Amino acid sequence: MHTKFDESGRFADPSVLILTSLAESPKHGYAIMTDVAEFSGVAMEPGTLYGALARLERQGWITPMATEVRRRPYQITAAGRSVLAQQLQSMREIARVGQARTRPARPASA
Amino acid sequence: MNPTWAERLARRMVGWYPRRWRERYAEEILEVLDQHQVSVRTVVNLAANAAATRLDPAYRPATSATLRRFLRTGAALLATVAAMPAAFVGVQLAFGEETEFGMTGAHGLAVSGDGRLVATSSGASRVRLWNITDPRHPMLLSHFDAGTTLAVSPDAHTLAVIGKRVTLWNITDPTRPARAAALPEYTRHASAMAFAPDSRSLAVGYHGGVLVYDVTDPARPRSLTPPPRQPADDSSHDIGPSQFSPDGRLLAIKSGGSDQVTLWSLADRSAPRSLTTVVFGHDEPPFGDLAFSPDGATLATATVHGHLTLWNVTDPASPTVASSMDDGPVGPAPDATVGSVLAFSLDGRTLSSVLGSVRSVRWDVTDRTRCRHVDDLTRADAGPGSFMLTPDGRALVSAAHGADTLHVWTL
Repeated sequence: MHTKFDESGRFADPSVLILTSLAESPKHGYAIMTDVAEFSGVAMEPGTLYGALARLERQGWITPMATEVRRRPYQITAAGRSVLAQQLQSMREIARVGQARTRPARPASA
Repeated sequence: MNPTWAERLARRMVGWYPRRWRERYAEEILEVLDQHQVSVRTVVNLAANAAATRLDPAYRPATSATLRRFLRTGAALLATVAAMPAAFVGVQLAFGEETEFGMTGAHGLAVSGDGRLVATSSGASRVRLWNITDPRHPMLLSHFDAGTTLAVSPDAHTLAVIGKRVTLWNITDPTRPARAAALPEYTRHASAMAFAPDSRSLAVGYHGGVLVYDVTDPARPRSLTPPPRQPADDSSHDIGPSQFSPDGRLLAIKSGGSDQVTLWSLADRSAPRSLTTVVFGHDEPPFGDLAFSPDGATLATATVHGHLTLWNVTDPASPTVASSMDDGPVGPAPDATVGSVLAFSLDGRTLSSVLGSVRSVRWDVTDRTRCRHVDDLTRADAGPGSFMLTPDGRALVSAAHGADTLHVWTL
């Protein structure tokens, strides 16, 4: 179950969401949007998607495949996979600390 | 279904991305917008991303232009907000490609079978590919140097260009056109081209003959006809519009010098046979057009002054006049920059005729022998330039001389 976040309320970087989507299989733009919405609840807009796709492509973390009837699928590169793994590791770390700190506080000892 | 105002605005926003970015991503993002539930948020998001991309050094052509471009983006955003109700009644939009090229006339114009892709040529050899899915906002996808006279295959995969010779371009991805092959040197004498309806043959017309190439694989074109014995290199004998019949067995080529059309049989692609020539007008200048009906039984011809004839070509060796119409003077006397263009609707019941790029007349031609005038639209003049109708006759595309812009009117 997911709460539907619009982009203004999101916490996840679109790059991480896109890389996560492409880590499963190559996808074209609209398929990435629907996949991301499904697994994260983030409704990404085309402008954000293509802003991030262009950056990821320039960084060499994804690569475009041949166009199929006006749609171009993208696939994740080896470098992209390793960057994603690092990002997820650091997010796990943040999640661990964050969860610890948001536990109901004990009465402060004087 | 008509696009909502948000969808139109979203498409316009794509036009504000820097040219280099558009050449790479416009086609894809337009496709995503086709499927996406477009809202105000989509539009704002695109505007913000377009502005950010314009500031991105990777897409900036020159530092000196940065501030001007930034201001223009801001001004354009403000202008759109201010003019929102008015933005959708305007009939034309020209993209600012103002700094890059010498402003010379547009010569060539070609439209794909689905009416979404337009190729234009201007200057000495600059070819541009446009997406006109949203006719109000033509989107420049790419440009390259190739030649002046153009033909786009009905499936939009191949572009043929007459330059120093005929070259074939793979435009399956119109944002990345790639030169696929060149036809023999003698094709430099060609002045008309037409793709067969199945996109597998290309007919190249020159004064006095037709060459046919199998272009199933545009990288390996196969010549089906022998080289011309004595190629005419007299360009005063330019031949005009040419079109295949829907079954691909007939080719109609308008010859220059006068308004006459020659029908060629291409039943055997390796031996084009001239069947007959009919004169369809004596107007000056002889810049008429022709169009086959979807069932291939009728050939329509029109002169520059709007004299229309429907020919019964059931027996292509001896066409007969089914009916003939005159819709009177067009207003200003036509000059060398105007012409007439024709297209049937997909159901073959309506014929659109556009005269001098200023007046569009529709005829109900359900009964080929008794055509009925439907309506008559006079539009703001696009100025002198090349123009043509999309294959379904629903939109008029005009590439103006003197500006590298494209105008599209839905009829």
